[in-house]
Amino acid sequence: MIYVTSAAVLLMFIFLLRLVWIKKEMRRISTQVERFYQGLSGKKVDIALLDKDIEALAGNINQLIDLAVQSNRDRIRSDIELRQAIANMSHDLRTPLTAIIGYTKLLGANSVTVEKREEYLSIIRATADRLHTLLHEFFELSLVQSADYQLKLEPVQINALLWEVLTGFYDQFVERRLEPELNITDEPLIAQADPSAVRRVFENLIGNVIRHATGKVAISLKQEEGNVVLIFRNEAANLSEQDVDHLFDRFYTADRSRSSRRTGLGLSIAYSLMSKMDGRLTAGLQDGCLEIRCGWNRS
Amino acid sequence: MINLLRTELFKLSKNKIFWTLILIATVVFALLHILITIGWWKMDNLYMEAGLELFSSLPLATAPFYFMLFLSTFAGFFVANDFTIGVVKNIVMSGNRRSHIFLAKFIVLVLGSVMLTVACPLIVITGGKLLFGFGEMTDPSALGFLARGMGLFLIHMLACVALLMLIALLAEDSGKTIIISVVIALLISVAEVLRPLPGILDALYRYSIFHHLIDSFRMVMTAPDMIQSLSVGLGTLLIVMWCGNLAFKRKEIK
Amino acid sequence: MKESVLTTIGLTKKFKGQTALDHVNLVVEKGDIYGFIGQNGAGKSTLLRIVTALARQTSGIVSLFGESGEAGLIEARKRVGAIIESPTLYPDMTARDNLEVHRLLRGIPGKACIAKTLALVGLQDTGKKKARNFSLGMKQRLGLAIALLGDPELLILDEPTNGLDPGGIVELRELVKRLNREMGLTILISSHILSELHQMATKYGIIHKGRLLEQLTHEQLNEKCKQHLRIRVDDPSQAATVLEMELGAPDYEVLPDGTIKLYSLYHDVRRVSMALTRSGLVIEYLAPGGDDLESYFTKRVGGELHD
Repeated sequence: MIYVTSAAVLLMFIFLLRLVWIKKEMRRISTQVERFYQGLSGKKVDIALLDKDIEALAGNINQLIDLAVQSNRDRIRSDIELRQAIANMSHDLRTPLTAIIGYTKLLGANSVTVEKREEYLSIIRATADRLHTLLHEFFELSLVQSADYQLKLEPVQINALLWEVLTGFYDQFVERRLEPELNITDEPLIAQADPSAVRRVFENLIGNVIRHATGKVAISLKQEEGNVVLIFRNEAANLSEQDVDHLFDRFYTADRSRSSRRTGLGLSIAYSLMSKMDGRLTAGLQDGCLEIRCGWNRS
Repeated sequence: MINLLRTELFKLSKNKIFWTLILIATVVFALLHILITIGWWKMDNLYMEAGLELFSSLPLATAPFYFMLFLSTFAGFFVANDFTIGVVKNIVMSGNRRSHIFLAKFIVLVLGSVMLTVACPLIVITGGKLLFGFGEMTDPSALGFLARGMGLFLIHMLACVALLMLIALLAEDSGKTIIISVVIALLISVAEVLRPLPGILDALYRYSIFHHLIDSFRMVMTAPDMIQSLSVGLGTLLIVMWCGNLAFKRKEIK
Repeated sequence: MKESVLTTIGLTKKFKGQTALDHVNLVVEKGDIYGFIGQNGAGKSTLLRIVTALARQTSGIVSLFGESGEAGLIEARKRVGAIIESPTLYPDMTARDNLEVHRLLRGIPGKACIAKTLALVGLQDTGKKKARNFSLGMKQRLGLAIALLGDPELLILDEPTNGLDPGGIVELRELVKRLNREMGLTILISSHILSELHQMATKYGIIHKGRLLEQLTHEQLNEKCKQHLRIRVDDPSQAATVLEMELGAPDYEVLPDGTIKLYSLYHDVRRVSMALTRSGLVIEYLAPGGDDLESYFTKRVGGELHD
């Protein structure tokens, strides 16, 4: 009898101890969570690793903290990005606008000759056109980048489409005295894509080449490891690795001061369209040549 | 504290030296136990007289030299090695009190030591009895004496482990720890044989844990004897642990 | 005002009659990558060891996350991950077990953090391989994984580039920048080579012979490195007196070939040239120029050597 009683007492004592310990651990966890949301500490919850359930609870709390930290960081980043975007946008719009205002002031003066007036007007028109294109691109990019912009993917013959777009740019190549070295395979390459989006990507990439290329230009289309790959290669002596890394960023221009030569948003739009088609658009620098590759999965 | 204990236990479970030592201790003791039980090696000791023939191999396991050899190797590789490979840095940096770190290390070291020197032989003895019917017990009532002896032995062994830990902390090297503690064990064995020692040394030795360690298994013990043994053991344990804790607290970790 | 993560006030350490740290007032703020620069033996490690509780200061205060009391500091250290001198691992354990030890040690709930941290440093595929068989680079990465386990808010790296090949240094630099940018981790990193830190740090502290000579931001350092006046005249010593007496600009250096580098007044070339001409000196050359980092560091440290 005495053994049974003492065993029961001992057992009760152990349970009591355990209860006290659990309560203490709960308080510790609660304090830690409180300190976290009050912003006093960014530390995750740590516990005395004795009870599996408490460990699971603390683990879940930490997952939640992870989520909170992540979304907070995302919010701050998109905040900074947005502010940066607005700043860049206003910069991009201000330059042509300032020019337009300047020329309209000149036009307002009495002593303008007819020839001068014509010249100013044509400059104003050209600048306004550029402004118009830019605004259009802003709109297009924001549209393409929004989550509910979906493309309809269907089998597209890339070769034919590329030839078609290239022909359209013939005059501009001649004007810039560029003779692209074309290396386009005759084998019909069919990729899963959206034809109008592919056309837009081609236009933007070729437009970029025409605007920036100095010296040699090579365009090749081939099949590589089951993918359709299109490579644009042109000399780009004054681009750095860092510039290439940011090539597809919305508001990056290799040289801010030369705003007349700015890329525009063409590359960003092309990048977004390619991602929407499950394709890839990458850029690299090799021996002073800029190489832009686009790849589609073959259908 | 719980986390520190779990850490040390995890380290112990992953410590190869410890498991090797356990294996060696078990095999060596099992061999000796068999030899003694089958009477190949004649043992004439108090267990025979007390009617606990089964335990007649136990004095081997409780001989200072035997267990100090195991314990010093264990302490050397479990405590001093932390300093040698530098992992103690991570433990100290982890936001735990140094006294807690010290205590956790000590508790797990004691646990390992008890497994090595007490649990192993007892398991071999009881296992041998249950499985193969090795040994016999003519007078089971003498088990009370065994329990008392074991209790006192454990307390003194705890003090010894604390001392080993202090040595390991100061030496910071497993080799040095082992050499120093083996020398100490040798000195005790010699002292025990040479008794009475000249002058004050004898009194010093008589009130040390080493003497009481060996004396734990005395057949007849009066109450004052027990109190003396207990107070020497616990007193030494507390003093050595206090010193060890202080040494660890003051330590600059390289 | 940004939140301070680590502050030391009058931190002093003496051993065996030598002063290893002399009243160091260091401030690391949230989000910094703090480059702690000094020659070998300047006191970098000593300071980091005091911060991480490996050593004790002779006098002065360490404050981590605003906690400077004994108990508060111990709690605050749970928010710090560090590698001091070299990474310390259990050689007989696998990468996972090494992290498990530290998970238990820090009381981090759930084993998920181990796989996550291993993936972060690129060691997820080491399997049953024991740490002793790791290459130096892998050991370094495992050390980093240990320091990063449980998402600390302050990461302390003591000479992390020691023994790494150039590729490893670049990799480490990228990781440090990524941790800082993506996880908002505050990082204190020491080195004896300024240029190594220059690619990543946002703030610098220069320590020499136990004294913190200067704390400056990346921008300030660039400014300092960029801007000085290079002056060549027919009589450098007279020019030196003009600089000191008339212009009150003692902040200059005379190079072996007699060229003077003036570290102040660089924006006021007119005043300098007028003062020099007025004293009858013939100016052969006077132009703003830039110092490279290493020579800036040598100058700061060297200047202290002579006074």
